[in-house]
Amino acid sequence: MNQALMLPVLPELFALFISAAVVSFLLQRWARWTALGGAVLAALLALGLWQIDFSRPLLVLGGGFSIDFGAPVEIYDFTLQLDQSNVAVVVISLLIGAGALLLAARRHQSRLFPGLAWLLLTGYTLLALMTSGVRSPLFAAPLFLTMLAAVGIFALQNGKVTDPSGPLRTLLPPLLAAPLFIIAVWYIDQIPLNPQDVTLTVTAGTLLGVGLLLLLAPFPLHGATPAAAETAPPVAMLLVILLHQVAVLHLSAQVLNTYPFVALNTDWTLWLSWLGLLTAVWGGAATVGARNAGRLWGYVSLLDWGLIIVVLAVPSLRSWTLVLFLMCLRVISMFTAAAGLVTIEAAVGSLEMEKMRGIGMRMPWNSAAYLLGGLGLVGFPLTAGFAGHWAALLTLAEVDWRPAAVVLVASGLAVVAFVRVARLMFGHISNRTIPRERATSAALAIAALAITIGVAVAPQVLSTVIGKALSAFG
Amino acid sequence: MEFLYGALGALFANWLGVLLLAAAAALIVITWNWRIALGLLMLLYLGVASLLVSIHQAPAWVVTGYLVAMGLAVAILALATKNHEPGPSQRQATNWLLRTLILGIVAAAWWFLDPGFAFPQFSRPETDLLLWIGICGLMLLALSNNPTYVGIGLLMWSAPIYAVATVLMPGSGVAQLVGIAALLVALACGYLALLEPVVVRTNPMWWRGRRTTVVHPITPTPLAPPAAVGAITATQLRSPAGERTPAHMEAAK
Repeated sequence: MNQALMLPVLPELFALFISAAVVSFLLQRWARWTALGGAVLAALLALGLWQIDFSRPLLVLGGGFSIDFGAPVEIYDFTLQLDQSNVAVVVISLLIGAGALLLAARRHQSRLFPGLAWLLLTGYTLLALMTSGVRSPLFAAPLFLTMLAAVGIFALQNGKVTDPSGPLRTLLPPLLAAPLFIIAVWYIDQIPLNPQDVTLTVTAGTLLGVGLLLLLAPFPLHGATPAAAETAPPVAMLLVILLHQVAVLHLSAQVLNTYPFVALNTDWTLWLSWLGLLTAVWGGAATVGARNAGRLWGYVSLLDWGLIIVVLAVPSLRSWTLVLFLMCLRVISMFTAAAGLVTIEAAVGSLEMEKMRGIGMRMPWNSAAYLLGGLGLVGFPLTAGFAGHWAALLTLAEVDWRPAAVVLVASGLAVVAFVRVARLMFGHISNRTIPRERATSAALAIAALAITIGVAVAPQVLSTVIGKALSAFG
Repeated sequence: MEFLYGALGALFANWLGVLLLAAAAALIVITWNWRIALGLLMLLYLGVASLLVSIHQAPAWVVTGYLVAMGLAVAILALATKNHEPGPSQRQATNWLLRTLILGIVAAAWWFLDPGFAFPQFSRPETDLLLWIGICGLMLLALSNNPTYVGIGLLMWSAPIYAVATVLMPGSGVAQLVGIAALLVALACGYLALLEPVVVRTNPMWWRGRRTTVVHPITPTPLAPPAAVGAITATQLRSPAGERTPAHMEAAK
């Protein structure tokens, strides 16, 4: 009778996620409180999962009950399992969700946002935990990403009657990539039957490589980011884009580790270098003409993403360390900029730069958060992104100095654009009805600025996070 | 059900049927009418489904499930588009002649270059048909920024994905995932179609007049109280210079 009952953790985890989504939808009238509660819950979950020691996956609760953190769970033909190789991705996704919900609690974007955020977190966690299936679960990843992009559209459009082209474009890359993955997996299944046939490997590698490229959405598939940044609420844009990019990077790592012929037998790294470079250059050059603070933010995030893609093309362990470092800095910079943008948008009613003239006089902390967050995405000195950009440019210059110089010029253009915005924001105030920033919003902006400057001064504080995340990517 | 798919397979699984389906895909792009496009989209799904059953022995119940899902997706897009005034992006992108020329050039280039590519387990005509449907879908994506047409383009693109998943990965659940993904895509595109700003023609001779984009629901202007009507009319009936012309006096009577 004294039998120990072992409970697998994953059903409870997903039940908690779905309950959080349902409660957030049911209590949408109190969206600020559900967002705040959701932020706390997501942060606690991230902290709890971070502490798990997978060498001892059992947690004995007493009364004959114990929780098994590593127990696999079967859903249809897929096996989900929490292990050392994916826990970091889940934790990063939860932290992104917690940050977005915290910002939404301050200025709630929409009543539906907390529920949608939990739905997205559930989906991306499911995708990260998928370890095996009848066939490799990788082939289904673009279809899952398509579904999550479709859910993300509801958060991005936010019920506003406005130009829908930004959210609409988020659907294209994953759905375009889906057939390539499916056909590639069929070719991969044929390789053991005919190992001498090199064409099978090359075809499968090419299809997977092109599919990954589509998912990474470099130039010219980049349109969703700046367009959505202009029309969507900054918090929704932050959540949808960052969760998608973390998932795609994880998928790329899985594909490259499982099928090394994608990088070895094809010109994938060459395509990646060129398209990443074009993305960075386009992101930098387009900032010059931006007349909307959201779109400017979108363009600099594109520049940063282009650099990450270029670094991804360097086939060594060091490049994954650098990619993760850049990604962590990107998350911090984007959050800092979003913290400022949310308050500015709420005060001005729009992100048009002309309407933001002199807003720095009324909202100095939030304006500074936007500027320093944006400059962090460019890699400006004394911002979070500086160390990462500098290391990436040095790595690139070791191989070939010309791409590094081109990225540097593109970054210079983006800095010029931000100098223009800074002059406008801290210039003569045109709209004297703009209220002064509240203590709570100023406190959050100051906290974001402190994190940004802290990471800029001592980037080594991220080494523990990156070291653990490397087990999921490296 | 097997009999039904057998009969449809006899209709579509020959060169005339394949040509008919290819023409239907092309007509979606050429006509640029969402009602016709959605109808033809269902015909495409029916054709592809019957090919899968009759040639590749796909289980009829699986294919029927897919057709039901696609029917729902098409209905969602149709309802959303019908219940919303046409937005600025719903106007035709280029004219029908140019679109026909583009499709003709693509078809001719494919014919002459003849890359000799075939999907695994599929014959050349089947591959050509699936690629043609995909290309027509991409054409819609390239020519339009309208949620309805982008939705139709993405649903067209999903037809080859479904066919490939059903044949190359039978019993793996991917085909069902394609159906769920297509439903969600239709739902998202329908939502965006409902939230697109509409164009209100401010001048009856609209091709001369300017257009106004309304970005929020129109609320009725409150009526002025009766006592103020005369004052407003008198103010409005002054000429730009301020004096009251005979025409204004006549109108005021």
